[in-house]
Amino acid sequence: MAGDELAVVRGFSSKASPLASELIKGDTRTAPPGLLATGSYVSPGKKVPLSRYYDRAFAKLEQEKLWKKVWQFACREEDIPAVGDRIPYTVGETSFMIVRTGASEFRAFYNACLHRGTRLCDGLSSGESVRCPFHAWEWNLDGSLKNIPSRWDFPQVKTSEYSLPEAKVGTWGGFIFINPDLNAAPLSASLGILAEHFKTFEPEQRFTAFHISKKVRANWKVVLEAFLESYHVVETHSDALSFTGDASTQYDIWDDGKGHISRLITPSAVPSPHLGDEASIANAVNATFQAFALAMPGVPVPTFDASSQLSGRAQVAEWRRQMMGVGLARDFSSVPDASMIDSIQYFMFPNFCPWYGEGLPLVYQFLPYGDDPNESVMNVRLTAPVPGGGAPRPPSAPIRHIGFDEAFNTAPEIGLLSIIFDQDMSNLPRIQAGLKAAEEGRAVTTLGRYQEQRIRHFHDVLSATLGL
Amino acid sequence: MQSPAGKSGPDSAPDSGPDSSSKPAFVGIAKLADLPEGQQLSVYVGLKKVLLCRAGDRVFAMRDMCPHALQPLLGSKVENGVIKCQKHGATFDLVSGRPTNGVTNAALEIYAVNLRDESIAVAVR
Ligand code: FES
Ligand code: FES
Ligand SMILES: [Fe+2]
Repeated sequence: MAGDELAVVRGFSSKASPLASELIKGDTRTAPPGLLATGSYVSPGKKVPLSRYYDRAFAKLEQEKLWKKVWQFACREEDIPAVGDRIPYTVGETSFMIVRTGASEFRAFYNACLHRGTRLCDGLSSGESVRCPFHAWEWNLDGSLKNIPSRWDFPQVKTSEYSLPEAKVGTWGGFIFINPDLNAAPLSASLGILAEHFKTFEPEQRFTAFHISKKVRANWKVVLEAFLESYHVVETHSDALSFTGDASTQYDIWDDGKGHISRLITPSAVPSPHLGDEASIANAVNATFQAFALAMPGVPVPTFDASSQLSGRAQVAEWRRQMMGVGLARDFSSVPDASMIDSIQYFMFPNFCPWYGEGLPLVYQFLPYGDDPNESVMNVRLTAPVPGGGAPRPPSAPIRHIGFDEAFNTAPEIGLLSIIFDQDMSNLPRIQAGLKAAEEGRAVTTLGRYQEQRIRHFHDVLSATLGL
Repeated sequence: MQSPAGKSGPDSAPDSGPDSSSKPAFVGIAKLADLPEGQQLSVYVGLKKVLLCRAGDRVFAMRDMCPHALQPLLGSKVENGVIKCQKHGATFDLVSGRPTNGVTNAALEIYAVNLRDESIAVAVR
């Protein structure tokens, strides 16, 4: 393909705003190996046909060869804290019921009654058994058949053959994954470098502080890809430029053929390189102080100290270490600056984006919705550290559902983040509409070599998974 | 760019005050002297950014966020009582907030302004 032999430029910096990799090297703490690691994957750069985002046959292919065959993020352990708790995980038209069946044992059952098909679990619920609301067929938590009313009328039903069918379940760091393919290799292979990189973050020591489920009028891949790059910040989030290292973001991909992982690191408390060599560091630092302070009403907001030995980034990081240390009775003194303030987001194929570090500890999940490739669901949660000092584990926030035509700003618990999400959301239906209107010869994406390489990688893996 | 003053906590929803049914009160947010003719000023009021535009004797106040793609309006052209967003060209009537072209159907949030004793007071909803 013409142009693809050209050298890849690994980001764009300014005097005021160095590349993310440079900032991490200048950190006040030695960054853990995961943060210093770089990926080596290079995409062959095949073009992505726009029909992938709306073709019903393609969505059907995904349902059969992707969602029924791969490890995928379903929910968190704290969503179902007690034995007998269950929650649905619904991907397109397929749905599973994830049940806590023991202190640390989980099972995933197909969410359909073996009598006449009724969905068994609509939302978070609990009980000692699973009972269908239609005729009360009932199963034990281990999936074995417990009771059929008017048992005499079902002589053909052998109890041993009427256990609820299951998918495989794997857990890591408090996250629960499922794979409907019973012959699949264990989860650990699909996690790739994640387990190693997240050791210092301990995702299992966190709880869900808010949890949003948003319906979107766009294909699930359109939504996912809107969150895989910081290239769109300059246009879509222009009000964040004064304190966001968008163009200086570092992108990495690790792919050993089984684990398909990518990452971006977008620095905070630095001006966008687009603002030029003379852009104000003081403004960048002050805006970052203020953004973090929004989560702590009443706390006095520091300002940039030009006379300090510490860089602006280190000042924000140090303040966060102290505030979070006091607030949570935990010790953050060895956590590097980048892990305290930057946006560090990983992606595991096909639907899982766990963020690393205290900067913005979000988790994204992207899912098709029903059988319409023009619609999808994006789930967003914030995972906060569990308080130390023997305090009890706070309960998981309930899921707030936001409809197609509702905005994130209907969720007061997420504060100013709602504006950022609503900016992203405003693009998505427009993308979905536009890509169907493309001239036939131009119905492909044109992706950036560096900043959009995670999207290239995603499609490489998707093609291979679908046998294309 | 100015940043959130953080006067109210994250508990207050960006789009609706604690009680949006009652009339919002006028709050002084700038001095007339700081806003020369033809100039604009963006000021945080709680979590909301408010844009003040002076055109002759009049001061218009609106949310500093274009409803098209939720971008800041600061720096956009004001002419004949209409503001034209510099991003993708949506135009809004500065009295009603209604869009005057087809870029978006959504209206711009407009706030009542009170000029008294050289101070600009705005009723932010
Ligand atoms: S500029 Fe990116 S889709 Fe048009
Ligand atoms: S953001 Fe104003 S016209 Fe698009
Ligand atoms: Fe975004």
